[in-house]
Amino acid sequence: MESKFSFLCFLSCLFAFTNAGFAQQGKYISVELAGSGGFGSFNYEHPILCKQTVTLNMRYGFSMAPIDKQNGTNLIFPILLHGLIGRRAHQLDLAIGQAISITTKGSFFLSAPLACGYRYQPANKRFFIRLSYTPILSYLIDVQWQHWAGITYGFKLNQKK
Amino acid sequence: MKTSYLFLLIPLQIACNKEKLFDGPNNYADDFSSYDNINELIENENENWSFFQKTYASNVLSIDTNIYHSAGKSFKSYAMPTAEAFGASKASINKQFMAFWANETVLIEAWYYIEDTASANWLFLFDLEEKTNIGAGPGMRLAMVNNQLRVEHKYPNPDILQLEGSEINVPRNQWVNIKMAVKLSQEKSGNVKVWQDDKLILHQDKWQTLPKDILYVLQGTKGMYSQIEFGVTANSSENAMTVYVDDIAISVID
Repeated sequence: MESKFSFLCFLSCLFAFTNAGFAQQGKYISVELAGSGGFGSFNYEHPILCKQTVTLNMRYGFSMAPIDKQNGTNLIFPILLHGLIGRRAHQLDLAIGQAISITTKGSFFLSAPLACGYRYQPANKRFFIRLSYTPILSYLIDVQWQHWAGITYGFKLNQKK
Repeated sequence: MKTSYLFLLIPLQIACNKEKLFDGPNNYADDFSSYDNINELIENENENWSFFQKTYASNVLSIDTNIYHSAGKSFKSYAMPTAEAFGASKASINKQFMAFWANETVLIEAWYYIEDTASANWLFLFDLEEKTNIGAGPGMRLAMVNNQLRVEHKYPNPDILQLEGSEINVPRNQWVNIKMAVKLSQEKSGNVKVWQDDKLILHQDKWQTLPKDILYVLQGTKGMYSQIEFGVTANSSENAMTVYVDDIAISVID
């Protein structure tokens, strides 16, 4: 578990220190079934860095999980930094982030969704599909690693030449 | 925008020392002889009990001097059957801020007297729980179903049942001694044993006995239990139930 945690810190540092050269490219909305939002999520993505073989995307999501009468519904806001590696349509998609949980009864929690997957994003098309392993790391009180997975369909909002 | 990248990083470094933060007593005993009325149980902020759960106006919690196992007094709880529109019917006492950690073995012992012979189906007598940031107090519960004891979990795990063909009922209108020993583990390396009047009736090895986080439905599990609950912790049977409890003892034995 400690090695996973160290790897996570390393990845997050790597991503944070490579955020030079911001680019304004296409913006995406996406729907993920299961994955980083739990049962499913709606997401907005935009690139913050585009280099030849690496693109960094920032992703802001929203999801919900009903608990019970006493605890209400959990509103989940997954925020992830995606690193896309690959020049063409077939890309490796790595992600790390934070998921803010706030219930309708006022409880709060943080966890760290991670992702490692395959992203198919054909040139001159306005969609992408992603299949990912999306573990969720609990770290605030007890370090726990939950295995999970997701499938995403994304649609490009605008396309700059 | 750049601050949002820092937000991704900073929380990863603040995982807390949970043993220090959630420290608490790991033993408690009560024969109820020192109380004259029920409210005295929760005086002195968690020194004895912490709070009551009395979810229906007609449910009753009291100190009883007529039916007791020792020292002239017992704790009495009366709970109406659950009506779906009003949620679970409870009449119980809780003690919180305790600390039972993974790899420890907890022994819980109490004497119960279940009045009347009306069918007890999903009558919950004892809960061992933890309090989480998000989720409904996951834990283990001792339940009576068809008048027989079983262990039920408030997290995804099958019930622990008595061996088929050798099941025994809980005797009614008399005192019965119930002991439960749980080796705590978030993996399948814990175990559970329950004795009824010194006869081992439930035994399960290689068992997950502590809850873990479940996506965003259950968050903040700590690898521990922190709360005990006695009395009618929930009455899902079709009958009103009266349960007396006496000589409670809980401790870590290993």
